[in-house]
Amino acid sequence: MTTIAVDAMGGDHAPRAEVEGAILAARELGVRILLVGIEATVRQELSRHGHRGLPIEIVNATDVITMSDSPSQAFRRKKESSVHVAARLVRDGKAEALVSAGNTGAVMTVARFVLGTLAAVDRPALAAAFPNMKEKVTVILDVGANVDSKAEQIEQFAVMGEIYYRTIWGTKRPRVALLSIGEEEMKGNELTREAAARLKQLSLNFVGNVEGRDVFRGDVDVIVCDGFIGNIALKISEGLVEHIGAMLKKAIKSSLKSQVGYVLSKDAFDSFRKRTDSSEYGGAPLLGVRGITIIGHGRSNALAIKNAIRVASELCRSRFNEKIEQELSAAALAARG
Amino acid sequence: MGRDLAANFPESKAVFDAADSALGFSITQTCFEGSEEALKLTENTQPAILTVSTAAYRALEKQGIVPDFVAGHSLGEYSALVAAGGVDFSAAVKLVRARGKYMQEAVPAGQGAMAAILGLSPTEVADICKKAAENETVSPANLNSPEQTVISGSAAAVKRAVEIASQSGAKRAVILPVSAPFHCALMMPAQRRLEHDLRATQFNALKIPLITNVDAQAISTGEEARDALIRQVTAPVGWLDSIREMIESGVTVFVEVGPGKVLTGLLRQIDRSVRVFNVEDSATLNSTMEKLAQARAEVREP
Repeated sequence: MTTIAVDAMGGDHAPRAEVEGAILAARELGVRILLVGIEATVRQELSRHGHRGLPIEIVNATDVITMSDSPSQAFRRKKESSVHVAARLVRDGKAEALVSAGNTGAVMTVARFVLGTLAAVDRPALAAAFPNMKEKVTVILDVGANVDSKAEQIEQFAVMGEIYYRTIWGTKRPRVALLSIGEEEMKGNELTREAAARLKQLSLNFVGNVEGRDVFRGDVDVIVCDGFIGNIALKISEGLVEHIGAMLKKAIKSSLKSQVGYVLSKDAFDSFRKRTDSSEYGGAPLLGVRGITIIGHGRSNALAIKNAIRVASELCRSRFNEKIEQELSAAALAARG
Repeated sequence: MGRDLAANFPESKAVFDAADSALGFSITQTCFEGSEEALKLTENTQPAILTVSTAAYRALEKQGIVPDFVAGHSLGEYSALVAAGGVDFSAAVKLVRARGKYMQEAVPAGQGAMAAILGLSPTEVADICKKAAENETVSPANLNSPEQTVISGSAAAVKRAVEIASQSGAKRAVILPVSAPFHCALMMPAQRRLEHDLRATQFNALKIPLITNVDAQAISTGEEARDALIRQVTAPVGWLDSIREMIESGVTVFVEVGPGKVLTGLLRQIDRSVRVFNVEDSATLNSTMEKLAQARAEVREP
């Protein structure tokens, strides 16, 4: 049975969302959960739910990283935080994966330095799933694990992103593209041109460059870019969804006619909301660290936590990290001659 | 790469200095500040990796660590041989500079290729190469793990092998971005040129047994070491068998010395029961020393 360490103190709704999500996961997914956090708090929350017979255990951690802690300080000064303890459980082989909806920067730093990176991976990358027009998802990476990336690292992101897509969405030959400012090869900056040249040499199904507006079109499955651009793309999209929702609400309330219209089309609105709700996708994996790591949104509810645990267990079962090491190590060794 | 070693360990710094004076230019600068492009040129890659690996080894050696066996993957066999005292570092760094150059010049750009075949056994991959050859060259080049074999040969034949492998149930079969087809018969011109250089170099008896890439057997004389390095240029790297040979000889702890952790990852794929650490800078040296101490304590009190 796959064992997953869940940071019980991470998100905005911790520990309630984490505990409820863990119970759902243990019941539905056949995984064993280690809930990591301040023992008394977690135990109290757990006692409010029926969890008899489920494979859930509590592991005590005496400190908590808050959303306002800086990643480097949280990493160095809060060694007994739930994130550190959970990461050490993975490092020491007591759990296979780490799930946290806590401070993203801090979780990334702790995971990267406590777990270390996989052989042949220079830098880990954070991968986010975007819903697209083809009723599927498009994965973009890196969306913020790094600020500056080299072309060689973008090449590694492509290999990792492609394996991730195959594993979770089952597509045999995912289409991989590079985010740039035009489809033509000559467009872009020095980094994208060098990255495109490298990507063409790999035997990935590399379909060329795409623009920002193609993200939601659904013609490609995996989009790679440096973490600076990826993070901006992610935040603009999240902001847009949030604000369009608010603007719509305001417009609907402005007249009786539009309120009636809303009631009539409520199903459509609900299904749209479900498609754009990040809790359906269960968080973003930090690819390339030694031990599966899934970082949920701070706002994660129980469903989001359960889905993050589901993604974590699927990656563990498919031996995801071994696949990455296999592919990247062959290239690195052969190139040495 | 290697900057941290040179800054923290005088014995490592001495290796960089020796490399610069042997080569007549600053490979140190290439290691520390060189562009990716400069480091990617085979004739720079090889001396750079040998220098950083030897610098890391000297730092480890200074801590009192003496291995029971040494081995190195392809180019790494030179690092292993330097560690075993079989050849002088200054001579080795000149040899690998020439080796890189000869290998690059053996086949015109674009005519050769290498590919990784994942998820098939080494024997299955060898059979596929035979089928794909059609009077051209393609053969196993790196036998890395039970599930990872790299093949090498003429571009068209490698492409055919990749197609056959994909149809024969390989999990992945991918052409690799390398500049020449290493470790196959197409490297014969490089082997002849390097043999000349190797015969002009002094080799000594080894202080530590070395497991060779070509035979996966322990050797101890300078003559055997030279012979292995000559044959290595056109022969496959028998890494899987080399690791198995060491495990059968009782090795339970491995330390990867030099830039990166690629072999560490590979070892975990070969045998999960052995322990693997790596040394590439002062941080990894410290953590490896701690883990080695722990491993020793466990052996003492079973």
